[in-house]
Amino acid sequence: MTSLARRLVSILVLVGLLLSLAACFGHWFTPPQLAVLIVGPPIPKGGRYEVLISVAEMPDGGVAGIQLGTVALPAIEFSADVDSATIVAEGLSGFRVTAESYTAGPPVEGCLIAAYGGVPIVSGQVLKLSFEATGVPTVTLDETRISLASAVPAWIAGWSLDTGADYYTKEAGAR
Amino acid sequence: MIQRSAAAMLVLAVCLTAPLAAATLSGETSLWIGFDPIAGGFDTLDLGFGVNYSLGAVTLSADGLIVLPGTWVWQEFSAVGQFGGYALTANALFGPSTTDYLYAEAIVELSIAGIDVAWHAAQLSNAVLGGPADGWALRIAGSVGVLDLVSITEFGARIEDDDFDGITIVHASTGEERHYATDPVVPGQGFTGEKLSLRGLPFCCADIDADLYLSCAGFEFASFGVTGIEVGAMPWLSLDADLTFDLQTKSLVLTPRLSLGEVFCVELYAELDWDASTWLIDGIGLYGIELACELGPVTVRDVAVFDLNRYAITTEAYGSTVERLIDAIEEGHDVYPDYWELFSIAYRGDGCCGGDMMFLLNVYFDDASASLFDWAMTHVEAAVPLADAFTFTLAMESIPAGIDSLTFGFHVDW
Repeated sequence: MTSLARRLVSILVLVGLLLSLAACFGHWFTPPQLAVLIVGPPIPKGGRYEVLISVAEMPDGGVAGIQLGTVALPAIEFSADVDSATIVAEGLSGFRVTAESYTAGPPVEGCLIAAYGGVPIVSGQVLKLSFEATGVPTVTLDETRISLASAVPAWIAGWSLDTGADYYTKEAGAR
Repeated sequence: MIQRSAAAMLVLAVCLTAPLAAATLSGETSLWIGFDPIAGGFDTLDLGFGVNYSLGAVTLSADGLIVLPGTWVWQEFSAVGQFGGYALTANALFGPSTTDYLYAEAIVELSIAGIDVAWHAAQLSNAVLGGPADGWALRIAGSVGVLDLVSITEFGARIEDDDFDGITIVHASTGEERHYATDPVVPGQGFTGEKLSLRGLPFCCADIDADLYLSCAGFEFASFGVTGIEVGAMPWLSLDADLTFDLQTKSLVLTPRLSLGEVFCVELYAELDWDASTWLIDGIGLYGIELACELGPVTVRDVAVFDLNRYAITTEAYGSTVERLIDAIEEGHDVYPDYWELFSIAYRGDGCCGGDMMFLLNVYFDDASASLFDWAMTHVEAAVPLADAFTFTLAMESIPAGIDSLTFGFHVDW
């Protein structure tokens, strides 16, 4: 086989490989990820349990404030085996908890407000709830009692609550 | 379809490793067991394990992480190889805790006559919130005289650079992350974008950097930037200028930079008090100071932060330096937001058995503590080699209430 023929064959193999892989990647519709508030499951840590609350793909530059219910209409519900006196809410990624309240229960319920004065968060962790429990605890949020604010400033609309996601993406290609 | 594509990538990786030569097997294992003496019980249980299998020009790797309470967070398989002028990198990530395939990435790089060509392909499965997504991109870079040119053609994927982040996949319940350079765009379908970058474009007294980005919807942005513009007889002041054209807006950003030079063993953290809305420089603000001295293998440091609303000391994992909170969040660095001063003694030297020995004592102070000198927390870290390939590690943190965490670990190279 001449040198020219070998080059032609190499180019054809390369083009064929690219076309084959192109058929595998990128030629069917993939829906966009919508704004989502993610609540992780309770993880045991040092005799306590921790729940991470994160956001992903928040619009309007990201979330700058979050309100989980009010004293009259709490948005956080803990299972009965949670000791309400041990609940601690901590802001993450620059968020600070400015007000919080929990009932003695049962049911153990709570509300809180957290805000960040600097860069809003498009995707990342914003809150950590930690507490002691006697059994295997659960934490649920009432989506209808949650408000998210952006830095625009405006209320963020069109987001959803997800308590079942084990994995999610963040920092995906924002300019 | 996603499973078929993942299988295709794995088959491709295996096929490329066909020309096998003598194989070598090596690996590493690390285990961290942490306790919380105040609250009682385990605090952390991180088991990391890696296996490297070299087959001639290709090295196959497996890397996993198990955390408390026995959650198998990640299992990653990688292949890195060199075939003549071609360099191959392939990564596949799985989530064993949910028995899911999560992400795959393949990168093939080639240099021809001074031109660097890189082909990136990636796929994100629908087991990840944000997926499914997929795509590939072609990056061609070269130089013409003093001008550096980069072209990135996107078919549903973006490559990490100054304008675009890669992709970070997060485990929701533990916060553990994995980062990759190729981000499959959502949605991705056929051609999605073209980015042209020019660096060092000579223009009178300055070199201009220019970027143009077109998506399948049309023009997205064009930007022109100049850095380090000197200001007359003020060598401590320079300006960066960025002119950006978006579809409906145009913006010009001038950023003044302060350079105080270097003073032996003392570093001042300072910035210009700059009001971008009025274009006025009001003054110079000092927000931190660091004194450091190296005495042979021992380093002594004292770091203080004066403005905890905007700055903080990063954790040991990120160098214990003063960093803007905004930058720390953007870069994913962990900081201590409440401690304004750090006193540190570190030792690095040869161990008894061939490895490196390390000891670190960090003492932190805050404003709210009722302890002596406002002491808030002490962090102790040590790594002691017990054999050439076996290192014992210890970490402890204590607060005024007692020992907050105590962690033992070991690292074995085999």
